[in-house]
Amino acid sequence: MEITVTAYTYPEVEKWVKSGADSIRFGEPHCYLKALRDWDEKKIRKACALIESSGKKAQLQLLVAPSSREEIEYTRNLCNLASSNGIDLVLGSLGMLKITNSCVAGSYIKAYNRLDLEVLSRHGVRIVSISPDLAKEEIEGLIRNAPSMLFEYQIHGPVSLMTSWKCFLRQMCPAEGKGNCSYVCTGYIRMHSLSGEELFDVNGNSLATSRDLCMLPHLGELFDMGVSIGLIETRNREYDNCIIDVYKEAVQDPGNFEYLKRLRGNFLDGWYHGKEGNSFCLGRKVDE
Amino acid sequence: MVELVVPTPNLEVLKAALDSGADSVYVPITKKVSIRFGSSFFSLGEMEKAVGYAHDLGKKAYVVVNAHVRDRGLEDFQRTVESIYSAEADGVVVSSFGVIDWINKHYPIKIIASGVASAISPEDALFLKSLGVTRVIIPRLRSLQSIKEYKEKTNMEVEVYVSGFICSAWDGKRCFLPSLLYDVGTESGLCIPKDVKRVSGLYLAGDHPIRSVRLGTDSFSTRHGSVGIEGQGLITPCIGDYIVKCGDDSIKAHLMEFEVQCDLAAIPYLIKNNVDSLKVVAEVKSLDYIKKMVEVWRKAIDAYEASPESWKVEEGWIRALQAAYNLPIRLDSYFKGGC
Repeated sequence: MEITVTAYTYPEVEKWVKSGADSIRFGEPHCYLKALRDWDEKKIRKACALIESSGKKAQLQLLVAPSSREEIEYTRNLCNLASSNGIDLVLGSLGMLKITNSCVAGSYIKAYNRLDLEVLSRHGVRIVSISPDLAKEEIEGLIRNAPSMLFEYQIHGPVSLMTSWKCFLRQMCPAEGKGNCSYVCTGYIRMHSLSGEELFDVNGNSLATSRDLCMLPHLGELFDMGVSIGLIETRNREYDNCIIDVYKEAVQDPGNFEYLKRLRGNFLDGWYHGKEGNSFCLGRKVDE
Repeated sequence: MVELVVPTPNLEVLKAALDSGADSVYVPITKKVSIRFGSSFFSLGEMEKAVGYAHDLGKKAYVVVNAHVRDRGLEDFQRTVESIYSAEADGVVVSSFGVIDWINKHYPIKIIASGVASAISPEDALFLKSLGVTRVIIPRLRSLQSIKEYKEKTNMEVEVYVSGFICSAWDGKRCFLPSLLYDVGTESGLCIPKDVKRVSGLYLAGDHPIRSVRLGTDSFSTRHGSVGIEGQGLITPCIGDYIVKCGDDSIKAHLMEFEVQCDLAAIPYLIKNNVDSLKVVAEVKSLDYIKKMVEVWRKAIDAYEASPESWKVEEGWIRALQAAYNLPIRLDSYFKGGC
């Protein structure tokens, strides 16, 4: 299994090229959903060159659908830049399939069944990011139905409340750019009465959950099912480096729970075991 | 003429909406294939009656099958589409792009891309058009300029939300909140199951934050007291009232403001720019509420079409809507720029 890691800033790209990750996914301010800053075309080229020179693969993430003429033109330029440099584009909306091909369908493109996969395959999609809310059996079935495609699954990192281009929660906080998301829902949200008295915080500390997804104990299963790429969503911390290293080692030795000891905190395994939203919310430990 | 379309959860509401002036209705069919409206859905038999009722009035009924269907549900789904086609419904409202493609290949029926299909740009709409979609429902609160662009760039039928609650997921993509709260799967897109009326739980109040309260299938947590969910009038959990008990006191709190989008003032712009359909979401409330809301929108549209030059939003319409909603209403969402 290959490890893909997200980079939010250029210094992060510099950091991850020294890590055990096989691919580094990054974006730029007009197109990326997450809290990216300080990117421009020059820096994108520089990042690509740096990643390539380290023997790793670069992925350019285009999540937000362009709508204005300028944005479409800008996206076309990025697509050209990516194709001339052999970089995979990660798409977040169907409209961009008309602009580019040979790409990765990110989880914002909702591929939930074999009919969805057929359409994506017809439009040149090679890699499909599996939606985080699919259960093990559903993942298995999806992969079985599309033997010619590669599948990516998030194996570590925060899982947001929704996959949405425009999340109202984000609007409540200062935001830059379209749909800019910084996982507000996984942060510490407190509610106060008008007099300032703290009322409650949903889920004890956050609206969704502040705990990270951790699929480390299921790596072997995922690999056997046909998941060939594990995605690590980083949180822009020094500790992320440790996470990447642990997973890099763990994929060579799946099923060894000892690796968990090197990760800090309690983790969740999301919807992997079915529609257990409560379990997700309550924070069942992955090794229980 | 612009079409006034009203989603309806049952036959009674459907009749009220059509009798009050709606041109067409949405008919959500069985909870396996439609989202929203709690567990209020039309059975196949009721769907046939609904289509018949609309057609008798010379109006239209579109059947909603917009769940994020999984592989295991595909066969059921495909049989349901066969029934919809046999019932001579005027169209199907779908979200899954693979399913859109499949329906287009098998049935000569009008396909409407649901708001949940997330056509968040004209390019997305064009892609869906290439799969067979003829009408696209634009995700909530896009700007007026972008609505115009949808029409100009795609030459598709365009439908715009003009009234309804504003929830956390503006573009109708997947919201996992119900799954986290109610232990339901995410495929249904269910906002709140009908049978959840009130949840109350007990836990120890004290210095330590309490991780959770679990009662029945509902689980919640708080650090200051038990939390309940008030079922009355609650449509989506993100705007629902939560009853927070602090000692003997109960305080209502909510994550988002209750606010109803009500863009009467956008009618001239939308009609001038050839928007084909205005969607008025009649959340599950009283029949009186539905009737008043549809009547006001009917009057406003008819008044504009009769005399566009002298048209203005009438105070009486706003008063009637405010009385019907009994909630704060936002009259100018589109004029604030949308997104």
